[in-house]
Amino acid sequence: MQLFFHGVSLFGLAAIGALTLYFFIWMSVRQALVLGLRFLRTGLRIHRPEIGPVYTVTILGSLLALLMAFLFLGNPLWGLPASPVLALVSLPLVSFLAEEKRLRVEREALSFLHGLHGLTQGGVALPEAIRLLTDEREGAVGQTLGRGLQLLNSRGSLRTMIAFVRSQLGSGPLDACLVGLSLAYERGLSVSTFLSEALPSLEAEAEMQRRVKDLRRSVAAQAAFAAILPWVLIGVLFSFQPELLEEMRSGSVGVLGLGAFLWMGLGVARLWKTSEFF
Amino acid sequence: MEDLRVFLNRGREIRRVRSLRRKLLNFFDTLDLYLACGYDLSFGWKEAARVMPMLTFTGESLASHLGQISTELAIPDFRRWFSVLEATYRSGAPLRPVVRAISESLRRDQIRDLDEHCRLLPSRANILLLLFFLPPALALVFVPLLGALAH
Repeated sequence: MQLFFHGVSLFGLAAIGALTLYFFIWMSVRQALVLGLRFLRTGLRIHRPEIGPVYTVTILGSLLALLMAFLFLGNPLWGLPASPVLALVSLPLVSFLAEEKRLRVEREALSFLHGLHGLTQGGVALPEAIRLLTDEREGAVGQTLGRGLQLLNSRGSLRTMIAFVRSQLGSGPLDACLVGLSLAYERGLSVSTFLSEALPSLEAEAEMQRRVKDLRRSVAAQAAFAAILPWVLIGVLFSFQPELLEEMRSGSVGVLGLGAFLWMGLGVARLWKTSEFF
Repeated sequence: MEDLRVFLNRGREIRRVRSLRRKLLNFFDTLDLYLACGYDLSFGWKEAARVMPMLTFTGESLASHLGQISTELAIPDFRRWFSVLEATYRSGAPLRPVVRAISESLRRDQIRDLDEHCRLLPSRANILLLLFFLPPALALVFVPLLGALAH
């Protein structure tokens, strides 16, 4: 009888554990899919922290790693280290992509303001100039302007439209320029003159950001090349001398490889930090 | 030990100054836009402070607020701009030329700093590459070979 109760207890615990694990995995995968689909539909947000893509990549990538480990190595547990690696790799990657998008949006917005300047200098009223430019714009700024234009048509308020555009494009020099544009228009000041004075500082800021970005890209390329090349050479060496790989597995040379990997990782981090301007 | 700490934190301090200069630049550019639209300094200041919350005007006299910033701002090099702005504000002279001049001066300093950073970065990167990548690369390639030769 005691054995029966023990068996029932164990079975119950195992069932609860299995159900919990099932729901945990199912909810995690479901959430990862929802966040992933939303990310694909709306793209990266540029002025709020973005954790959704990191979560999606980590969860779905880990499941894939477990499956690959089961299929090729016979034991899914070999795929477990993939989780922290995927999270660590996707975090900076998502930050990098969000930064790229932010710079792209600022460039598009600057181009839009130049167009606006040209049209207002030619005597076109501001709302009409915005309508003309929005029709031919694509990309994040074009879509944002299109939605803002619907607000302008429905509510007739330029201030509402610009407030909406500001909320989508985030803060910064461009945001201040849009506020100034709205205020200048409401006060009856010359929008063209206002833009003549605002655009040079925006151009200077954009140029500075471009130079910093180009510099960091060149440093990143150097670091990547320097970090990958020795391992490629090792791979070529071991393909011609497989017995060297056996020695690598045996002990001290393996420790050397791990030490080299960590030292290079430190070098990459140090190099990236040195290239920072701000 | 203090000198060593200062030496080790030099890079972080330089980046902090650059970041603060960038925020100040955005602040003064925004202030200039509001002055260009005909708003007075106190209104423009409140709006521009959204770009740089540490300069938020808390409702007392703007002149005394400027005086406080000119003595308490974290980076001493930037305090003089607020002293100039305070003196101009108290005298009643037009503020826009002063704000534009401050903005242009900060921008020139930032560009000069960026030029120097671009000039020095290649040599620093080369040193780091030599220090962090060359020794492990040589060790990875030659140690297995030398070990095999020794056997």
